[in-house]
Amino acid sequence: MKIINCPLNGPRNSSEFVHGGELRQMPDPNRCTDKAWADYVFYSDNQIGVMTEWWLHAPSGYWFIAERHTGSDEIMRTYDPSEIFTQRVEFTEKEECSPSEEVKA
Amino acid sequence: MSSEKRLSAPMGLLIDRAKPLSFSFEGKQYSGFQGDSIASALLSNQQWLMSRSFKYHRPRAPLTMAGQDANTLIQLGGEPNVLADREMVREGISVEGQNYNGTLEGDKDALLGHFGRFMPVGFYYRSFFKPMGVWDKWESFIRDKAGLGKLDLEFKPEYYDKKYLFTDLVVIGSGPAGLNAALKAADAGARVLLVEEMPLLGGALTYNRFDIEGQQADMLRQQLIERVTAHSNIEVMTDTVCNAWFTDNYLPLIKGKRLYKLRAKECIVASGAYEQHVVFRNNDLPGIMLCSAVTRLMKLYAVKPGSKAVVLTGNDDGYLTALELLKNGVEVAAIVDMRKEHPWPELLGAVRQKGIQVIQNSTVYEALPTKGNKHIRGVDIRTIVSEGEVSEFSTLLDCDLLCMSAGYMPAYQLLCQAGAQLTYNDDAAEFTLSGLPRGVHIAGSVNGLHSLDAVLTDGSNAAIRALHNLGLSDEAEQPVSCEIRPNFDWPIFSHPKGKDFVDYDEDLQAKDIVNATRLGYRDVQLVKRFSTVGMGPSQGRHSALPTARLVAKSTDRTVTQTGVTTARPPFAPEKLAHIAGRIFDPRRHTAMHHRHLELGAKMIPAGNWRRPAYYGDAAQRDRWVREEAEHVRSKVGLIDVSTLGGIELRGPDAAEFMNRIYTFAFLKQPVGKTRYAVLTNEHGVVIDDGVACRISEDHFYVTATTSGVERVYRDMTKWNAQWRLDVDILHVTSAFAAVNLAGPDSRKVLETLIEDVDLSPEGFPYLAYREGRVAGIPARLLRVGFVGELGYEIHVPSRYGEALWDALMEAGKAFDIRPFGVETQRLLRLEKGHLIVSQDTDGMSHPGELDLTWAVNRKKPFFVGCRSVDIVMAQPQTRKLVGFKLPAGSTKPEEGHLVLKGDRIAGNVTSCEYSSASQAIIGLAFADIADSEPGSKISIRVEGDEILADVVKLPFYDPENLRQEM
Amino acid sequence: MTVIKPELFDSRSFIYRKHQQADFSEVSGAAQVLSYAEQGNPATGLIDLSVMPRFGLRGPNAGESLIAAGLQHPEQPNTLTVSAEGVMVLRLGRTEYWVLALPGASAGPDMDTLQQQLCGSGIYPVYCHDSYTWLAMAGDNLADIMAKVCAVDLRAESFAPGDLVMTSLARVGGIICHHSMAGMSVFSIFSDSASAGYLWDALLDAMAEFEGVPAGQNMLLGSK
Repeated sequence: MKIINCPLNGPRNSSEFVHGGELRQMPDPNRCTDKAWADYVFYSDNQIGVMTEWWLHAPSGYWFIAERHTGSDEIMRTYDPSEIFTQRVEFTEKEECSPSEEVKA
Repeated sequence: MSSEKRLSAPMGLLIDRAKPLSFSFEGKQYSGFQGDSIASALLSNQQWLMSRSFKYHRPRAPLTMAGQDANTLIQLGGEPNVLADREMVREGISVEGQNYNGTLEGDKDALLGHFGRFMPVGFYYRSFFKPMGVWDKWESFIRDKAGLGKLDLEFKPEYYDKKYLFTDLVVIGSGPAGLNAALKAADAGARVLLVEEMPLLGGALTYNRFDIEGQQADMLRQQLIERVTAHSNIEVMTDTVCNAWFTDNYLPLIKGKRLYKLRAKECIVASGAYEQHVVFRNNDLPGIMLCSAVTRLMKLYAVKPGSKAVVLTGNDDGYLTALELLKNGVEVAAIVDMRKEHPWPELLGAVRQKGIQVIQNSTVYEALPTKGNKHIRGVDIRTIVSEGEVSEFSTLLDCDLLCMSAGYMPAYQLLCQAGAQLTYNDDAAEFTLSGLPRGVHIAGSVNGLHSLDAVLTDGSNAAIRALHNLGLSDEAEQPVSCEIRPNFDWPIFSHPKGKDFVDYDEDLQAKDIVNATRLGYRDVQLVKRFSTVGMGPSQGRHSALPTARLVAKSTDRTVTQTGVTTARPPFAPEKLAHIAGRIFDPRRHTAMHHRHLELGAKMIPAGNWRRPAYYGDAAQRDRWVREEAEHVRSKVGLIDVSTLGGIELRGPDAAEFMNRIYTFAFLKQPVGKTRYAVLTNEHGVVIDDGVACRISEDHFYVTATTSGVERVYRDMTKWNAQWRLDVDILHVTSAFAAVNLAGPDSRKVLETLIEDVDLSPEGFPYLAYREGRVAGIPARLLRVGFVGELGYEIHVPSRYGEALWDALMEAGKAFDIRPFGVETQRLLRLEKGHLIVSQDTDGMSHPGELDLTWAVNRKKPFFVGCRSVDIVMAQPQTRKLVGFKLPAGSTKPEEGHLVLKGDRIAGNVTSCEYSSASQAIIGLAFADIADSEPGSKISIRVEGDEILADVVKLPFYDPENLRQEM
Repeated sequence: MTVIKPELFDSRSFIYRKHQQADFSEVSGAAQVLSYAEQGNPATGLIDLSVMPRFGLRGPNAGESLIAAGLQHPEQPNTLTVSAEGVMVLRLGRTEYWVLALPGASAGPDMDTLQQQLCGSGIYPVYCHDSYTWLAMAGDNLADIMAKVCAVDLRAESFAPGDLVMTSLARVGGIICHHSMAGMSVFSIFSDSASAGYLWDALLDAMAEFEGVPAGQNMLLGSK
């Protein structure tokens, strides 16, 4: 069983962790096209290479970021999400005319 | 007595001659000593025959004496497939042979051997493939013939368990390389675990002869073991099999009835090498053994293996074996050396001086059997004229023992599992390993080294590499070289009459492998699957090398190109008991669990919780559910809802966070009110629901479904790892015990227990939230309507759960209170048309399909899934969850039954139950959007028939919702 | 004199039924197991401390408030302190703390008063008394026993007194804390209260090999 180095709890068996998917940039849900949103929701790059991923240490409920090579399964680095998410995220207001209608037009 | 038959000490390292034992084999009594394997004890009694082969039922006897062949598989009481050469004999055990028809001695199925030419490789695949159905006719007969051993269906379970182990360095194998590696590392301060499969440390030092005098091994072994056992940094585990290598040196070690899961920082594999057999006709007769098996028999068990031996060899070890045999009183008729060149002069001189005949450039072409192939009686020796070809002229020699050594195959399994590659070295005619991951090291004969000096240095070097990684040493490695080349390049002498076995387990002959390649199976993996080579219990320990050579030759490729088949875990057969032993299966019980048991509840699983389904026996399930439901509708009922998920959100951004997670608007939810909360995922699919209570401006208490709360909590914390809102998210499911007190009399019951909350309809209206003390217990009170009656959810710190239950049941006596279970609750909510997420929804259900658009605020800037909901809601809707009704007495559809639209599947039934309140069968189902209006009919396929149900307006019961708002 | 029994109180351990052979005393409105009948000095004991007073707090200002209240603040995440008065403070991760009264804690700290002191903005209570059961395994072979249920190396060289781990034991999430009482090593184990019965049985099963038995708080106080 693989060992994953949790930034909070140290090296633990991978069975203590839950994979949270690739870290992806959400497009502005109130401004992007349907296609851009569908790409975000449904498509994964699924490439061989170093991916930035969410991992959860389940017993402590701690989410962190791991950079993992999807070919070798080697984890290059793990760190607290605050390294990436440094400030409060706000969402834009909805527009009167919904973007999905724009695309159809 | 067998003691007289044994060789004298120091032969017999493993046996205790002071402790004789008796046991039975095939009903006959035998004697042995403490420390004997079953096989050694039988051999000391001249009982060679131990099993019949898999396909041809040929008599078989030990080949390796090390648990590396299937010949010694026996039945030990109720346990089949026990290795007689590994299992220690115990007083009074009863041992039987396996895989025979009649008796082991007179197996009627031995005739199968004569039909061998009618059973070519792939016989079963090719013969029973056509015509259709023919396999069904033959299967039982073939399975009867092919099975190994008998299972004891009356077996008594035994206690097997598992344990974790931790160490700096693990050394697999305690031969000279392993011992030296362990010492080197331990001296430098590493904590070392030394793992040995055999009962004795020393590996080849315990049985192999390395020098002419035969003293070096014993002296070195004693020296090394003395130091190892005295070393405080070394822990030794004998009789322990390392059965796999998993990522980051996670190693399963099996010892007795325990599976250890070892985590080692560093790992040295010094697993040694398997001596290889020579392929010639009748090479499987009892009395034909590997050289190492013969020396094991003598040195470990003091058993004299025969009276007159022939040694067939491709290396010098055969000569040393001959000297060992001679020393122990076995006449050596000849050393037949496949090589053209002589061994080192002193060794050749030594054997000649003892009068042993050496025949160079020759092989045994055929072993001659006694009647019934029961034992070897002689050999037909031929000169080798070219690779695999022999001259016509034969020399016959009598013997009752043939020892053979064609060279060695590294015990590569664990290392290949770790990612090492096998490469064939044509000069040395052996496989070597390379490409190990960090933290895994190789040492000794598995690394292609065969001289003692080289092996010892290699062990020390492996330790140095491990110590580097552990940061315990910066010492440089010493150069290693070894000139010994023990492998003969083509020890395969195919015979026109066959029975020249490549794979003993599967009865595969040289021509079977070649024929598989001619049938087009050129890849060694395909050859394996077609011929079954290497699939037997010994997993290619002896067949992999000759198979690789044969396949390479007949497909004009190199042996490296051909390679060997993947060696997956387990390394050695392991009992299911080791996997199954002491498995953890967590159960969660609510604080009131024992009260439910006392009340006769039928408990059912809900995730890992146990919940009352209803109170009463399962045989009258429908009755209990109906009675409990009627009781809630007419009087008062009490249900334990502690398993309901709970999450608290606290902080200045709590409302903002709620607003982003749930579909509804929460910014303006009034304090002291509850609100239905639906959750969609990013796909816009409804994944959970619950009730949100606003306890204060910056404090929400939200429930979630029993099975969904874990996911909801994880999603919440993950989102806020990104959003960075000032909110604390706490999972509180286990912190609260909760009940729903429901029914027209529920207020009256509660009034007797509560003083500090105004329970009047005005003071505590429907959907309000209050805090107070129920029977003195601090409680959160929610007026909810899930079951459609006046009701109160009461949440208390779980330590008080049982006392709360008792107080309510006691106070409720005057009102004829009755507990009700989950199944009753499901019926009650169905009558009210409330859906249960994941029962009445699936992985595609968006709010529009579930009639939940009222719970979705599409104007707020964001909620998880908002954009997807917008997109799917803009599409034409194709299906909808509807209520349907069937007259009482109709066949009741089950959950999952299909809803049809013509010959198309439109949806399925998600909930269905008989409702006495409605006097009808009622249910929820996904229906085509065209059939979703009340008054439509939907067609449900129930056990082959199609029945028509009326689509009706929800809810089925109390459409004005008057009862819950009392 | 009334014989103290768990059912006399509204506040109960989830597993009080396991302690049929035990003597109890009252501890803050609940029955705490004092000792098991006819028991000498077991080498290893498992003690149900579920009813012992404790509370949790977390949030950005939780650590500061602990210091202000004069409690020994664990400097590193996943460590603990034990005060001379018998108050144990766990630091779980970066900003969560639990304050617990060990058996025999001197009259000094009044847990209710402490809890009221430790609140304010940026401090949120954690209901660790109800969410978690508290079991203490004390005596010999603790690491060996725990290795049968837990994949984390709990041998003294990698898990010293004052350390705690949040991990999985017998497939249930839990917290294992290493401290000492009455000259013995103690592993305080906190795990989902709803799984308490399951875990109690699983731990006793793991302890059986080492002759571990259920015991009472007297074992932790070095008295019979």
